[in-house]
Amino acid sequence: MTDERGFDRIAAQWLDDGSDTTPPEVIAAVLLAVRSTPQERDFRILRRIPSMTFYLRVAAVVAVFAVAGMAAFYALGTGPNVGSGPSLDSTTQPTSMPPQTATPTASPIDTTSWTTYESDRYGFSIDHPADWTVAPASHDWTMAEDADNWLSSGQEVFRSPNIRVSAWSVPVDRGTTPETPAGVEAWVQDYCAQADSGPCTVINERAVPLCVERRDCHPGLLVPFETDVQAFFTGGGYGERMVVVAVWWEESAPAVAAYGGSQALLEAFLSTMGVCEAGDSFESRDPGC
Amino acid sequence: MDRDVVERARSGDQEAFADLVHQISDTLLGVARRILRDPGLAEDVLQNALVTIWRKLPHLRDADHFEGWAFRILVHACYADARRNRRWASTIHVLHPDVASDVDDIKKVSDRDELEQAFRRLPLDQRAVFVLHHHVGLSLVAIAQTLGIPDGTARSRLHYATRALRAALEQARASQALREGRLA
Repeated sequence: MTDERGFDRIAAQWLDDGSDTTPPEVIAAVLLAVRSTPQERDFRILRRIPSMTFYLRVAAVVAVFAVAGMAAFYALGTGPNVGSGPSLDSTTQPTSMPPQTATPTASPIDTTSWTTYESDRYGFSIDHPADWTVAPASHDWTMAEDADNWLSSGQEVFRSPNIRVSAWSVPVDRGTTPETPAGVEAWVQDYCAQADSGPCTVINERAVPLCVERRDCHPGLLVPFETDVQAFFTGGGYGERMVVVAVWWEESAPAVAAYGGSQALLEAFLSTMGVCEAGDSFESRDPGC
Repeated sequence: MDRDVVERARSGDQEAFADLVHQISDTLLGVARRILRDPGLAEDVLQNALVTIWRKLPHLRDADHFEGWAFRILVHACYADARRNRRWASTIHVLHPDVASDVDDIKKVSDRDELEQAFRRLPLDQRAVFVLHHHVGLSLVAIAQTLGIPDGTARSRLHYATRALRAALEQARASQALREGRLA
């Protein structure tokens, strides 16, 4: 006969058989799904109302309406900035754009109080909001190893509690450095096919052309994807490397609403790198570039 | 589990959630794999459970209870998958250990096969209690709290599962002894 302790031991050994390592593709699929899956709201306070006194109920209802009113006020972009949010130009309105379509934004974020970060690994400097945290890259980003991982530790990462912005660069083969927006677009197509961003079609129709260095205007593109917005540029002081800067939220995500959307936030980061939108209004839009 | 990471994920921080996924996915996969006895199904269930965990995280009242709460969602995902897909009941996928134990002998292989077959005949709710007790190491009280069932229900499920598996084991041992006696 098998006594109780003997049975427990045999059962535990039998259960311990095999490996429990989660395949990377399962984790990647989960993280990809999470990017487009909103969390459920927690309405716990509403469930408590029946057990509250009359005055507490009235106070709770007033508070709910006050919070909703303030949220609407800020969502419309007519309120002043609070806390660590960006300061928007008071003469302009934040843009409201449908996802997947990039258009020039009209309200540059004031970056004068931002902190400069020098990337020794990638050889560029970039400013970020002073109260954001920085996670330096731990290895050189490569297309083969890192393109399909939006959380790659090969990125220089700048984080607020709910926003992740990252920047990195990758060498371009000598002599093949893109010198036109079409050349950058071809590079982005190749990148997109390997990355977990998308869609990869009609990039040129939704991309915003960028200029690196005002006088020479080396090419770049700002490309809105389904769940993020990324900029790609090369040439000038960046040499034969393709620099990528990404805001990992779609344009309409609530997390970036205080910044006027993910595109406006990305443009603010780019302006600190001497990269601006190309076009007639270029000089008047951001004299810092 | 880092409480701060759970709190950040609960407030919508996807990067913090990615940290959580890396911390807990192997444990959850292990539980799903042992309940369902099918690695492919277990991976599907884990994937669904993790997305559900993300979606429902704002409802988690105490970040310190994240792991138990995650077990509960996973076990319910196993039940839901089994209801949708009866593969677990009709198809036999014998789980072989990835690395054979060097102390394995005929008797242990026989034990394992009998346990495997007997376990597959158990209802999923009994399997879940058995795995949480013998593999994860939770007490019956903790299992009851985790699954949201009365203590007595957890105890009876473990009792029935243990009785069935012990009977299978005894039968295997008896058959083995009989074979060894004939050979002698």
